[in-house]
Amino acid sequence: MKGDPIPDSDHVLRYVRRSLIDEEGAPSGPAFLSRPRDDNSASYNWLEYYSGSDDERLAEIRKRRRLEYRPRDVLAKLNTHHVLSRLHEEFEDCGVAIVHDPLDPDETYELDDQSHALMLNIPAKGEALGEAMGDLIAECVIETFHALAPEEQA
Amino acid sequence: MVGLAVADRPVYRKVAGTSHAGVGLLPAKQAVAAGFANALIAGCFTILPTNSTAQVMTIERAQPAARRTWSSIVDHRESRSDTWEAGYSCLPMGPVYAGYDPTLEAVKASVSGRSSSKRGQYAIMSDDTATDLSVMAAVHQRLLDLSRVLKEDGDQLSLNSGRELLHFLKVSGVTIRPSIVGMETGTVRALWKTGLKEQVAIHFFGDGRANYVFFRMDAGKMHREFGTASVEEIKAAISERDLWRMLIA
Repeated sequence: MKGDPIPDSDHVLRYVRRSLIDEEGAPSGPAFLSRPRDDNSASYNWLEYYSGSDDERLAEIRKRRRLEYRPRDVLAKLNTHHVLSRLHEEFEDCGVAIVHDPLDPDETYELDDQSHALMLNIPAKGEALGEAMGDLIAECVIETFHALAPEEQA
Repeated sequence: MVGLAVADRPVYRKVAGTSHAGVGLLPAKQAVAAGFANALIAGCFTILPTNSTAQVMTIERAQPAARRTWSSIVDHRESRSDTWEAGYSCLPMGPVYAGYDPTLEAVKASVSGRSSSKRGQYAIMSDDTATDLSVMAAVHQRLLDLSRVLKEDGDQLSLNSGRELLHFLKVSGVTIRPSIVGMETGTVRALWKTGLKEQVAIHFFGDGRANYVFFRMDAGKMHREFGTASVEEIKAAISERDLWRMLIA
């Protein structure tokens, strides 16, 4: 349900464009910040929203994406509880939360994006506090996946 | 006829045939000799496009020796216009790896070619820095890569931000290569980390200010500091906190 917290045991994926991936392939802190126009919220996808294997879940998420993925872009996987607990430990009163934010089809997007989630109260890119928080989030990345499906990468 | 101007401040001009406002990069194969490359590392040059429609090249705060080198290259360019390329990249820093390029001798021969005294001049200039050129070369290459990536995404690398990073590395004598990423705004952020998850991160805005994020261990506790300050103030803060150890081997 919209606005519900994502369960602690579950995972979210953050799309990371390649200019924000370092030379070793790791997403950098600013990749996890909001855009100034996004009102201090950053988009994620709730991995366990869909059933099946991780590959099947990823396929659903890729199919419903609303951003243009490019080669070398990645999806960074975070555990909800781990990242939130680290943020709250280090940045008291930051108010960061991860909530379900399903998106319905509209005139631009034919498909819904029911796994869409938001990290709330995350500062915008360019803010020093945000960059510090982003660096901490980057430390919590469990693994990354190619944003494009294997068949799209050719 | 290509003119040469020396300015106290950066001068940018829109030049026909380039997609960016008045910037071009000398192709590596032209390569510009080691001394010239070092001058570029020092951030003292802005090179304006070199295609046939460009009428002015500007050198910013060039040292006299660098100006002489540049003049010799311009001379060379005029005599070898068939091998000169334009609009190659949007970075103003020029190739920085000439000093370590195994083809350096060939490059020198190609660029200077005519006089051993000019080759000597380059050698003197290449000694004019304590910075690890391999780090500078790697950073420069990374900036080129980011420039291409950002351009493909419809963004543009901030020349001033890239130049501030290079200048910071140069004047601070940094010998440890940072990881570098490019923001959507085109500015660049450099990050040095240790295995203990300590870090120094600097996001260069290109106007003399930057965001910094320090994670540092002190008495067994991780301290996290961040803020916005001038690059000079950040350097002082790095010194105060004994963090150069992460940037200089």
